Amino acid sequence: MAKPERQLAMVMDLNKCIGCQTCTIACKRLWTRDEGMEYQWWNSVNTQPGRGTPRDWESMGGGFREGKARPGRMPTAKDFGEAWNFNHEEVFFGGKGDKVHLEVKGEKPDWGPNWDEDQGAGEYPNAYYFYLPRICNHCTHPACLEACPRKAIEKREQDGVVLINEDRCRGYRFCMEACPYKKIYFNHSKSVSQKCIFCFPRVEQGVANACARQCPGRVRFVGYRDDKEAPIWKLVDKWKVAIPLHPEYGTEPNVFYVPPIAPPRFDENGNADMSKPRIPDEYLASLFGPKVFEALATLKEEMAKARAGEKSELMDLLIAYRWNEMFGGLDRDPATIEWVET
Amino acid sequence: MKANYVSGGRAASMLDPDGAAWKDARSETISMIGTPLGLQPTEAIRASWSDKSIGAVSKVSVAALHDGKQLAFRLEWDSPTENREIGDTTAFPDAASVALPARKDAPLITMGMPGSAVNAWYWRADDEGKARQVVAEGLGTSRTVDTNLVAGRGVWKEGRWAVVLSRALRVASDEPVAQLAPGEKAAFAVAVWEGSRGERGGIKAFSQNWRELTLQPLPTKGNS
Amino acid sequence: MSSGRGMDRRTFLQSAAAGGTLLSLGLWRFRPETSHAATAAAATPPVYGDWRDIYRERWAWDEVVRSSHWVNCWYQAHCAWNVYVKDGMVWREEQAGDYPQIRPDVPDFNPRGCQKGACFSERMYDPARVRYPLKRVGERGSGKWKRVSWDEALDDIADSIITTIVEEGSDRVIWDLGPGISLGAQTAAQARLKVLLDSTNLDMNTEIGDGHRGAAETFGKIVFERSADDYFFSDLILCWGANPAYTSIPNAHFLTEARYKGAEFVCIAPDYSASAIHADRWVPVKPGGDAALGLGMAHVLIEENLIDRDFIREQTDLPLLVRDDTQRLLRNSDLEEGGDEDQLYFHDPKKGVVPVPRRSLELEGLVPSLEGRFEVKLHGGERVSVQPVFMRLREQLQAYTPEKASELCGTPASEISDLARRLGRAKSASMVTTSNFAKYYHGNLVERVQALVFALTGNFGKKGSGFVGFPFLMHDGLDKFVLSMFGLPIRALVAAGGLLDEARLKLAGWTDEMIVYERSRRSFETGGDASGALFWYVHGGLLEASESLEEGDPERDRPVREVLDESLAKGWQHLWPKPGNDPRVMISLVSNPLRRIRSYPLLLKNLWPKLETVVTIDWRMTSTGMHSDYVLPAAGWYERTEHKWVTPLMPFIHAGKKATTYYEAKSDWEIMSRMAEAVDRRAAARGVKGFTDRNGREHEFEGFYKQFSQDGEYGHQDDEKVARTLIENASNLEGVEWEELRDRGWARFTDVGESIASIGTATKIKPDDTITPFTDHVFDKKPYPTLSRRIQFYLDQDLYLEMKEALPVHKDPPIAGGDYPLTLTGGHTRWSIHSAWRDDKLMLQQQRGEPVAWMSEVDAKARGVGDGDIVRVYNDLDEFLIMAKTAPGVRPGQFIVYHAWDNFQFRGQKGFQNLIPTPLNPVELAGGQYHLRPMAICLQPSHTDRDTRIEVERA
Repeated sequence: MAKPERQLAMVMDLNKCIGCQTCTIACKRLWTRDEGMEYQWWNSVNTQPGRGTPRDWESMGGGFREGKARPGRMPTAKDFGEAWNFNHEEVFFGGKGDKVHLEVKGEKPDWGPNWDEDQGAGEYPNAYYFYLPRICNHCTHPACLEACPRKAIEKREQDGVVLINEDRCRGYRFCMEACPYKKIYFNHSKSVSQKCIFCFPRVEQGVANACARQCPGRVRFVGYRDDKEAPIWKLVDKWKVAIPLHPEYGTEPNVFYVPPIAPPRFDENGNADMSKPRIPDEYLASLFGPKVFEALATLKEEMAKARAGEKSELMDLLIAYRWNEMFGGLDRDPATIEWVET
Repeated sequence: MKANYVSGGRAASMLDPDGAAWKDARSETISMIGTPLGLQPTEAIRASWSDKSIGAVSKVSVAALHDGKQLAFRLEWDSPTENREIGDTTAFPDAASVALPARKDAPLITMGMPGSAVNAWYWRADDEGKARQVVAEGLGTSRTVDTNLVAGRGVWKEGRWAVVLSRALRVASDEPVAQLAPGEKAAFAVAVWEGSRGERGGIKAFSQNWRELTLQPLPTKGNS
Repeated sequence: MSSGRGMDRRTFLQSAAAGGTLLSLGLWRFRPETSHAATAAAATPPVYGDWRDIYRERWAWDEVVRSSHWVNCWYQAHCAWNVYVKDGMVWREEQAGDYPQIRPDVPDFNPRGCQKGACFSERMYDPARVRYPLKRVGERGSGKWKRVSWDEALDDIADSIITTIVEEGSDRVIWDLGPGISLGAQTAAQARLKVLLDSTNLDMNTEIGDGHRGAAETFGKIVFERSADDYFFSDLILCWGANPAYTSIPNAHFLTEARYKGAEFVCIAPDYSASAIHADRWVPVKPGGDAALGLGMAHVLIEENLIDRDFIREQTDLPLLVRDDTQRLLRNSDLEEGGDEDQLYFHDPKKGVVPVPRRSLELEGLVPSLEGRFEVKLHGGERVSVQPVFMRLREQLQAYTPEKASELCGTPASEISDLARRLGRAKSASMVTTSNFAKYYHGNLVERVQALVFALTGNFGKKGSGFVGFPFLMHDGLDKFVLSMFGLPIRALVAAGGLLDEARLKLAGWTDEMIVYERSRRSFETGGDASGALFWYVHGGLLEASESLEEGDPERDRPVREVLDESLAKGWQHLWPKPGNDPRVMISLVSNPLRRIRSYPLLLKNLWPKLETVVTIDWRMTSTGMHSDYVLPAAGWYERTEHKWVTPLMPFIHAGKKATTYYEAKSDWEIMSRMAEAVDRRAAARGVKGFTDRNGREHEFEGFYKQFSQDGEYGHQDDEKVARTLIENASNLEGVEWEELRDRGWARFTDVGESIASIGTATKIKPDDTITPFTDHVFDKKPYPTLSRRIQFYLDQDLYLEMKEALPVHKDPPIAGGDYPLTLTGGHTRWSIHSAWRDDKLMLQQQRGEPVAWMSEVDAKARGVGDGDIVRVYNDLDEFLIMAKTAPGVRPGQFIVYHAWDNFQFRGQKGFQNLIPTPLNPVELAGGQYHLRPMAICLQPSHTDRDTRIEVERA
């Protein structure tokens, strides 16, 4: 694999994510509506702590350990959650009155892509949770690409986007086992593996990804890693507040997260307890590695500066006064594209 | 092995694994071995399969017939479950293929090498009726060159698959595929994938070496 | 491809507007699927195959149309969407993202939108849609239908209307208007028909629980709100009674960003909500305990002298004098024989007891006393002692030390004090709330207390400050359009009547706002508008549940029905149709009362048998549709040209163009227009001449449709023309051209305007600044529309004195539904706007595919309930079955069913609303006093649900 000339990346600010799933739906409506793709959610948002999507994906292996491929497990269709169909016609027009009600046709599900939404962990009043949006990480060291025996996966030279060539793919799914983030899906109808394409058709036309451009929480920054004028470089490399998920998986993701800060917890008398954070340190470290503490310290320091009325470049960046500037130049309005017949 | 010539109604039933043509065709039992772990093309596959055995099917019974235009192979082997539909991400279909060297020197163990291709006719249980013709020039290079020239049909009964793969002896193609003719000698090998064991891609049982195949000459006119 | 639009023939070009990047991006061409020809993007490695073109093609479209979702998203309304049309069908939508930045130091509004809007293109083609007019052929609710023509359906309905209004009275034809009300072309159509028929329009606002009674009691109005970007000027934001992460998705970024700017974001809520996770502090509180929490804060603020006395003296009634003997405010009529009932008094150290200025809040040198006890001589010569409201308040607050308040609200005393001090210190504190407390029986008390702590600290009018009421912002061109169908002479007459009125009131010092409210109050008196809540209580028979239950307010010692009778007899509240006039025809317009109304089974039992014709007009099937006689298919949101009201939170009117059609669905304008024509046609065919309306005026059927259409000016399909006229009529969209608005999708309001739904925000909208409510009051000293002309905390109307609620107090929630250990609460959901997306496949896929109830892990464990179990929920009223979702963030004792699961989604179609008795709170029957009289959207009784008691067991 040749090293790409440039690398597109994404930063997601977990302190702005409200778990609304607009990204999820934006992606679904654009890319995964065809037959065989109904159950695919290239973009998902899960409540952490939680079992996530696919269910228990963090325990499935894959990726690399000490530079060596680590065996991975294949999620089942039930782990992903199947695309449910409902009996609307029967309920509304079937003449059965209240003997029927709207329900999932066939076997009743016990998992879905957002099944454990807003559950989290802890004990009242010290419950804790936050939202973790995920797409394919378009890794610098993609386990999927390296696992594929058919060389059907490539990392584009011009932008580092990792794509599964559906013409070459024969549906062997070694990539699904190898991807430690379990962000590859199998299309049963076309017998090929599919995943987030980083909206390459949009990116090619200078338009930001649908998940980023449609995010009402203004959570997602997009751009090239090496663009020192744009937010990605500043957040990842300059301020170091954006860090990858599970760096220990060894794939070097190009999606980075600004880690979450929660309100204080309470002691046994119900008073605010500042001695330890609501979200346990161990938990955050288990997700983002030890660098999370450095990132959180910087964030808190800059927030305190802003609260004291001082100027903070970091806070201004995260605020994103001008929405379009979140996209590192991929700021074209798609509606201005005119498609013509030739 | 010999591919006898058949004609008439028998030839017409050649594509059917239960067809009359195969009733008294002579089959040979070929023993199979798993592809070597070390030859699996990626580290991830080697890591995943290091503690699992490869090549669940140990024997395949093979027969071949031709009708002067088409050559057909019939493969039969024990397979306790019929893995046809994929249905789940963790389920894989059973599959079989017949490989033929496009050039005589093509190495089987590496699925050919650059400039010397192996041609395979490939059938997969979830893709019934849509067998494909594949060309490979080394490990991990296989590519489908057409999906309309090879016919494949499989029937699973009482714990056994019977699969027929057939193609015209000669085909018009720019690709390095095997061209055959009655009366000539050719070589072949077979491979079988047991879906229930997660076998797919390079994880398969194969017949180790090229075997000779003699295509019975066409009967001369007047002889018939 | 079936489209015939060969994918091999498409290329794309930049539009002229996008200009110069064309060359740098390269121009490529879609190729035939089997070709391996090199592309213009020559740098691509050869392994790239044409599979990529499938994705490129998928993203391409034929046409982009600007539209939005004409539904009542309220706090999150609205968003400009581009609708991408392919082969004549809408295939996807994406936010336009072209709102301007208002100030460089404040983030812009882009991109707005939510997951629901992002999948309407899927929803609009799903099996919930109604394709053709349907007529019931089995029993109501049987699900047996026959497809009929529009003419057949409309003729039947017209016949039923004509028979009812001629034989029994026009008040018996009921319009139930739901969350689809646009106040654009659609509503204009319904308003014209309703006026021409003198039928009854139910005001649903207090019924749904958005009445904000506490705000109305305190400010004389409920409509006042900031723009969402105004939070950027707050240094303290109290999220109190709101869950913006669920219900204000497009606005939520202003909160997370204000926090980065330096604001402290404090979330006060029983549960560790999706909004609390982003807070600097989360303050847990018992459901319904918020008044005690706020009173504890007020105690600290006053005792630690963290209050803004200048503000209190000028803007509030806290200096006003109250008689010790009667506990009533001291009035001019106390001091002078035949004196003014509404003139109140305060004490100035220099001038003594003086009348409170009523035309302005300007004190002109007076310094009203907040403390002290004074003696006044009544006109009869008797001397009585009086003291300022502030003194009474301070005394009452002794019952709410942080420790005592803590016992009532469950919040630690240390948190109460801390919160009070934060508020006391803040330069500019604001509040995020939604219509949550209005859904509590004692929610008015909570809102009064919230207003109190903001008033004590002077947090109004300043940028980024203030308690807020109910957000609403609309163009003011609707009334004019409705009236213009009467032609010039009559309009002139109506206008002249209005002018006379106005002149008199203006002379008396009434503000424009007060005059607007007065018009509305008159309309409630004469039946032009009607209280929905009272309609359902009386005609719908809901009072049955209310009466048969323990209500648990120890201060009430007579039956609520007696209070209701007194209220109606005294003209405090009005019921339409009049008691005894059974409703006969009910038309639900994009409305779903059988899902919405608490204790809805009582409607089926008590109301439905009285109704001869039940019509649902909607784009989809609903629980109400299923129990209707006719279901008429309305156009979906991308299927009509429309514009819609918004709120100051997002002060841009939104508009859009019809992008496609769907089977036989018609726009609401066209349906109403055809219905008007059908009334005309059927009256003529039956030889029915006319009818007498509820106020005794005669109406003729001849020319009915002519009048509706304004002599043919507005035909059946003239939605766009109507929309344009409305915009042209508006005074608060200066310089906005309809065509430009339609194509761009938005225009920023230039003023709050004169509509009753907007004027209360009482501020100027500047093109380059955020919007802060109440600058008219705080800086321009315009009086508030209350009895005292001030922010009013003391209410001496009889019922308030009777119920001991003259000053805001805490009262424990009533025991509604029977004495059970858990409380069934709710809240608006992340996943739907009302029930519009509740049965949407994609939204259900992101949940659990069926209704769920949130349960504390503690309560679940105690009952042997596990996550995902189906539980039986019951109280004295009934029961229902639902899947339990257990979470540690749910407060023990609370059982949350989020809003708007439709009945047909529950086993046996028994919805969760059937356990909610919505007890009627007697103070809500008040009236008589100036600002307590009912008017549009407030000061009518309301329906509530948050106090419902239940028990739960594994099913």
